Amino acid sequence: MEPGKPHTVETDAPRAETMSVSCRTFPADRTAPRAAAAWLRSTPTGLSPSRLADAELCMDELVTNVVRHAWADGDPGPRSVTLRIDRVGAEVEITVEDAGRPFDPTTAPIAPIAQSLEDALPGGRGLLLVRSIAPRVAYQRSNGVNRTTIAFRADGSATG
Amino acid sequence: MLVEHDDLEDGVRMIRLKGRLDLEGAEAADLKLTSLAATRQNFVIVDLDGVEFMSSIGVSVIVRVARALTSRKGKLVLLKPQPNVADVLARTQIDQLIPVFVELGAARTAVLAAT
Repeated sequence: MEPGKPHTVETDAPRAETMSVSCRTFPADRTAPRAAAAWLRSTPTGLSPSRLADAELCMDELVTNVVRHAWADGDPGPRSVTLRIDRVGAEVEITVEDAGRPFDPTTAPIAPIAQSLEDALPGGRGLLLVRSIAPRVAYQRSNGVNRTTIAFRADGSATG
Repeated sequence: MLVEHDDLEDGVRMIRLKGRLDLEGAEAADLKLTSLAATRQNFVIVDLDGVEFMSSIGVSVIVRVARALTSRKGKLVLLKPQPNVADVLARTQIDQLIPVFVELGAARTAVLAAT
C-alpha cells in the first residue's frame, strides 16, 4: 500500500475484528482541534510516540477543516464533530464525523506547491499533510454525515 | 500561544513563539505576530524552539507574515523548529521559501543578507 495514497473503504470487504476504543463529541468551534488532541493523547491507543504524533496532526487538520468549512454562515446547528478511535486488527482507526456539507478529503484538490513566497497561498496545506502522512485515508458519506477515517499501524511499523 | 520579542543590536527583531500553533494558537498569535513584524524592523527571526505543535493553520500565519515583510523589502527566517514542526515545514515545502536555521548566528547573518 502506497503511504498517503487515498482510497475509499469498500463497505462489503471483510474487515478484521473491530474493537471500539473511545468516542467523543466536541462542539465544532475553535477549541475543538486542541480538545480533540488532548483526548487522543489521553486515550490508550497502542500507537508508538511517532505514530501518535502523526495521528494527532492528521486529526487536527481534519477537525480544523470541519470547524472552518463544514457549515456556511447561517446554516442551522447543531455544529459538532464526533471522533471515534477503533482498533481494527493491527491498525488504529480514527474517524472524524460531521453533519456538515459534503466534503471528501480524499479527492478534494490540494493547493499547488508554491514556487515563490509571492505565489504562496495563505492556506490549503492541511489536506496535503493528511494525505502525505496518514498511511490510509478513507471517506464515506451516508445519512447526511461525512465520515473520514485515517488509519495507522498500532505497532509503529510502516504499512506495506 | 505566547508571543514575545527582543530587538537585537543589529536591527533584527527576534520573535519567540511558545505553545501550540494550531487553530486556537494561530488565532491568538496572528494579530500580535503581524503587528510585531509590521514595525520599522523589517528583518525578523521567528524562534520556533518553544512551539510544540504546528498545523497548516500555523504555517499559513508564518507565510502571511513573511509575505508582508518581503513586500516591504524585509525578510523573515525561522529558527530552531522542533523535529515535528520541521517535518511540517518540509512536507509543505515552506522551508524552500522561508529559510530555516538551527543556529542563531546563521539566522542573523541570513536575515540581514541582501536578497
